[in-house]
Amino acid sequence: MVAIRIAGVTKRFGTHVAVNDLSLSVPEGAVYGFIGPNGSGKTTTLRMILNILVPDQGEIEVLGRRDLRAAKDEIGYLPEERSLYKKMKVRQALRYFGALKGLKRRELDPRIDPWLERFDLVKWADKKIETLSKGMSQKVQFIATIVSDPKLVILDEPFSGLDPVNADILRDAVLELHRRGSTVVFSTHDMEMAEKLCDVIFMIFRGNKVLDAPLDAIQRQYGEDTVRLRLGSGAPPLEGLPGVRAVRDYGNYKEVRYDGDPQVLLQQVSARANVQLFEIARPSLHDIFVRIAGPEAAEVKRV
Amino acid sequence: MSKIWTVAIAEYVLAVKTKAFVISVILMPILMGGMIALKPLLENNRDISDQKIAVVDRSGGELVAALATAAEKRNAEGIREKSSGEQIHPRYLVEAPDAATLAGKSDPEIQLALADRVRNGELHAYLWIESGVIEAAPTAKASFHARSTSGDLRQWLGAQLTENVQRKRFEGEELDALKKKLAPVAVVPQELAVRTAEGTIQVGVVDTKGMQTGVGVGLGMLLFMLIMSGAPRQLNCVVEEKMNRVSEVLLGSVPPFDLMMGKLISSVGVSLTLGVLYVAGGYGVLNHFDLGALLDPQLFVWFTLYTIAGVFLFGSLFTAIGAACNDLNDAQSLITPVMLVVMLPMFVWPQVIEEPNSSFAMIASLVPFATPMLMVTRQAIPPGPLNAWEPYLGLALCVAMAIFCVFAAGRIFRVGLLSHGQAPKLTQLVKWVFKS
Repeated sequence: MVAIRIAGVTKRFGTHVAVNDLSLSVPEGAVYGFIGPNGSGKTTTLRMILNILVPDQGEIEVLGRRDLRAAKDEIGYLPEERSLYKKMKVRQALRYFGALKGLKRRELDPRIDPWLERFDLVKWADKKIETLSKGMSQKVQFIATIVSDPKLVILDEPFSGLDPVNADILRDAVLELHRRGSTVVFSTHDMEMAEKLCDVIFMIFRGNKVLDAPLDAIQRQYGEDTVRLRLGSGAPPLEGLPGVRAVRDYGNYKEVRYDGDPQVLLQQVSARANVQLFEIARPSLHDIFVRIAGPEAAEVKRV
Repeated sequence: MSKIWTVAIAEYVLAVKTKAFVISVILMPILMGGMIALKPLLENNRDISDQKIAVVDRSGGELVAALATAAEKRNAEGIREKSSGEQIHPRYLVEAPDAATLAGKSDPEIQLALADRVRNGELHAYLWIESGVIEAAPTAKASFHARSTSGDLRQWLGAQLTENVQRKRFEGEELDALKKKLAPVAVVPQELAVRTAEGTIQVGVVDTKGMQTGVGVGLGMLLFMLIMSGAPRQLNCVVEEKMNRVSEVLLGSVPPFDLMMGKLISSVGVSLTLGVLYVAGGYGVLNHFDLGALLDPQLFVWFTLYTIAGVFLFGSLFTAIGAACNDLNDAQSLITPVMLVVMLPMFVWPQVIEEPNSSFAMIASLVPFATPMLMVTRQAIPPGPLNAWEPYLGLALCVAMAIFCVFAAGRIFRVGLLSHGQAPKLTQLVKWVFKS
């Protein structure tokens, strides 16, 4: 079964083409990662899935329904910017968002209470949202998103601004939704998180689909031309060595894109410095992202 | 439909829990109750302590004695409530300044001495009657000096002085007979004659148009207040939701039109709650003064219908502007033309009250944006609009315009709510209505 089917969708704002002839199929039960630079068309695509925006061309089917208004109650949406009524109390806001998803009044509290307990928010249930910390209101917003137990959960940057403890709590909750069978579409700029969580990565760049495959397949596609290196202090720069196309410095180690036999590179480097780490690796999602959308990126290659 | 109600109820609860709403509600009984309570309270606390007045008469007309006699007569006959005999007005004690005050002093020195006595509370006031008053010399006058304006005392002194000066002027003539001949003719407002159900012709009923005009003005003003408190609140609410990005979450669950309708219905609810409370309170006050009949129940039904139509009409415009703007500063420039339309009935209101059945009043009250306020005012002032169809036509046009505005606002709301960046111009909003 397919949770989201997008076929030949185009969306323009005036003369600007925000999404260009996009086709996509998100399988049911998957954790689907949406990545792409700012302004590339991610949020527009998500808004079209949510029927907040209507495509100029093409078709969108969500949870088997072409009438997207009918599917709204089965979708939970956490927008990038945290948005709650500041004057509402926590429970009141959760009841309101639950009711907007079609839940009956008697169903609301039994669904809200376990989540409040899980996120340690019970004692805040009757406090106004404006009194909560950023992390707490983010958790409240997450509960508001999933309180109706939606079949499809769309999370836009769910972990941004969270400390590691709260990020872990939220990540566990996302994974639980996945285990329960919900399809999770997960838009992020955190490439590491995307690598860890997502079954399939979809990347949109300048309105065009440029990646849409499992991470493993994408990394295979981009080859094994990456070497991770950690050198002793005082090592001369690696740029300029034959075959070295790009060097990215992560502080603790450097990631080198290299054309040629890695053993040759090892010999060259060990002749110049003390090599503490030398690892032949697949390119990280971060690296792939930069190759596609970075300053040195070539023309957009649609897939 | 259920989502419209979910939004409406949640927004209504949020609105009625705000301080502004609670203050508006509390203010009403305070205002109404205050009017009832204040009257006896003011009467009970009236100052009835003696008021001593010094009178200096430079006219040679022996007016001090005449005023003293008049004051004695008033103190004996006119300061007590007839039924209970309780004193309700102060005694006036008129005296001529003593010899020590006058001896060897110039007029300004005497005035200063009297003024000092007023300042230290020995006198309540003093009256200075200039020479030539009896002869009606062109500049001759009497001047009244007190710490406060003392309206009652001044008027009484003026009346008594006039009476006595006129007697002096007409000495030897029949002043009373002359006054009788000069008596003005009273023109008393009375209702138009009607034939009663029993077939008799009823004439001579005291005209209450003045009070009914007051009721009409009150209802019109209340309607204006309800609209003007509801619509800008709606604008603020939408702008805030847009700024907080709550609108995006809401749109993920509710279609934009349903969201806007929910908001408008909540606004109608808030306005009707306040309106019912205020009208009921007003009726209570009128009833207390045996004037309950001034508020026709039918008028209340019309008032309710106009409130609903008016809130939809103006609420939709303000909601659309709120959705199109990124913050309240943006809203200021777009709101100006709408405010002109909102203020339209206020500009023509005086003419409509003056001549509620003129052609101008009829046409003005059929302009949809002015109908709620003007038509309810006209209906309250007897005999009401000359043609029975006028309120129906007015309401129909107003509802039609409200439907159009809600439709147009729905278009703007859908596009505007997700638009960020530069605030749109009015022409762009029109484009959104017809091209979105």
